[in-house]
Amino acid sequence: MVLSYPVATSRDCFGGEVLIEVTLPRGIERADLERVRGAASLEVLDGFPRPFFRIDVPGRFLLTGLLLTTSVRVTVRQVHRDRAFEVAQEAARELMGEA
Amino acid sequence: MAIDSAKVVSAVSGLRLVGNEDGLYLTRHYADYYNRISFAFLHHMERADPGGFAKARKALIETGHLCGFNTFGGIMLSQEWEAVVAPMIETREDWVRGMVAVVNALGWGRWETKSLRPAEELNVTCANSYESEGYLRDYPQRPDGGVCFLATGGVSAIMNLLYHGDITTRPQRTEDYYQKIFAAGDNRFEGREIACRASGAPRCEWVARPVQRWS
Amino acid sequence: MGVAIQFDAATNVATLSGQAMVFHCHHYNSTLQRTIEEGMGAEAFHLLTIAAQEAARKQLKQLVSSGTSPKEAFSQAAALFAELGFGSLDFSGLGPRGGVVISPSSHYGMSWLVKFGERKDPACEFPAGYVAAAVMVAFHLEPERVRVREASCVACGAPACRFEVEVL
Repeated sequence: MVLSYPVATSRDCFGGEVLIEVTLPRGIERADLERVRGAASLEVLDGFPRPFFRIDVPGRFLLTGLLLTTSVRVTVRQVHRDRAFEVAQEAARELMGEA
Repeated sequence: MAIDSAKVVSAVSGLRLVGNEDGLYLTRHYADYYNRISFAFLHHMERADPGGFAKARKALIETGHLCGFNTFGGIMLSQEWEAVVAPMIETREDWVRGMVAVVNALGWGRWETKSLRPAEELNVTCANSYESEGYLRDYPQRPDGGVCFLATGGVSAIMNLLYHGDITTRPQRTEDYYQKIFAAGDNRFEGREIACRASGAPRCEWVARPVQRWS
Repeated sequence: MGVAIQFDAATNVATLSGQAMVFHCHHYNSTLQRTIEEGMGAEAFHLLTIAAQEAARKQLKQLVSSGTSPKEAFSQAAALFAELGFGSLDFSGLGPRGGVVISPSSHYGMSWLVKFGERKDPACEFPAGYVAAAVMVAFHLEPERVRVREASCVACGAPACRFEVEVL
């Protein structure tokens, strides 16, 4: 059975038309970030009061979030707009090590 | 004061905000481009009829107001805000100061909150707004009328987001919400530029008050 | 290319090769464009294109070293366009007498489509001006010699934006 996490959608100026917020079953650990496949860049800004991460997977999505929280924002690239929810779920499962 | 403006600017500057390969949706754009098209539009409207300046000003400020609703609203609901600004917030007024601090990382000039009366008035000044800088460089000083339309709209947007609506409750920023919060009601905030460098003032000054109090 | 924007913490002004750079998103860009188009009618196209050409040309002239080949100049212009968030430009169909430039993804085209839906006339006045500036700089041409027309636009339903370039 394919896991499916709760989602909410919105639009913003910082990524793309379809921005999907996925609620995860547990807080995001630093080690989780390394599991995301195809990342061209992985930034963790832990000098901030709340450590912030950004993972760019060109052609698929941009992932952003705060470490230790249970939600991640998936900005799905235009080319996958028609299957945005599916892509967001794939991203979340990779992060959680369940892909 | 809870908001450390310098830390916010430094952190936001380090976020490497860039558009993606889709060409959406954030641009690092030319101040000169915005100024050229805005001021040419302004002058065109002024030449077209006696009421042209007022019409152009209204249209351009409303564009800035819409920008504020979408951009500032989006910023205040972003994870970047959660990471950098939210931990410094103690009061609703800190949301205002935090947003002004973020603006200072956008390249728009050095905004300073001169005064903030909760739910009543926000006064922001700037010695180098990109709009007045551009106007003074390319056009003669104006006898009247400010030219910082984006900033004027932006200042009222901050107040509408926090004191007419409530961005802290994370509403969906829909067209209906915009109409309800930004475009209707005597308590909605309206921004005015009460001093502008393009007219000889030493600093530009933008004030947002409830529309019924501008009489 | 690597865009090295300088941020002055004393003035909160960001510059790149002498041009002040400001962050704005598609809401403002498209809404401002619409405001000006509605107010100026047919004159808006020329203004929006020429203003883009003016700003971009000043910057590209500083960024692109003299002696750079046209191919490399176009590569730098395309890289800058993307890094600033305007989308992608393919200059490979261009020669010293003109040709075609394709934009598979255009900020202005996509933004208009997302915010306002399809339109009758092309929306990419800014990219058209930017393309003109790139041609001027790459081939060392005076502005009067370069004309750019957007022949198709995603905002009009086309799959990509296409700019026809004429060198007089």
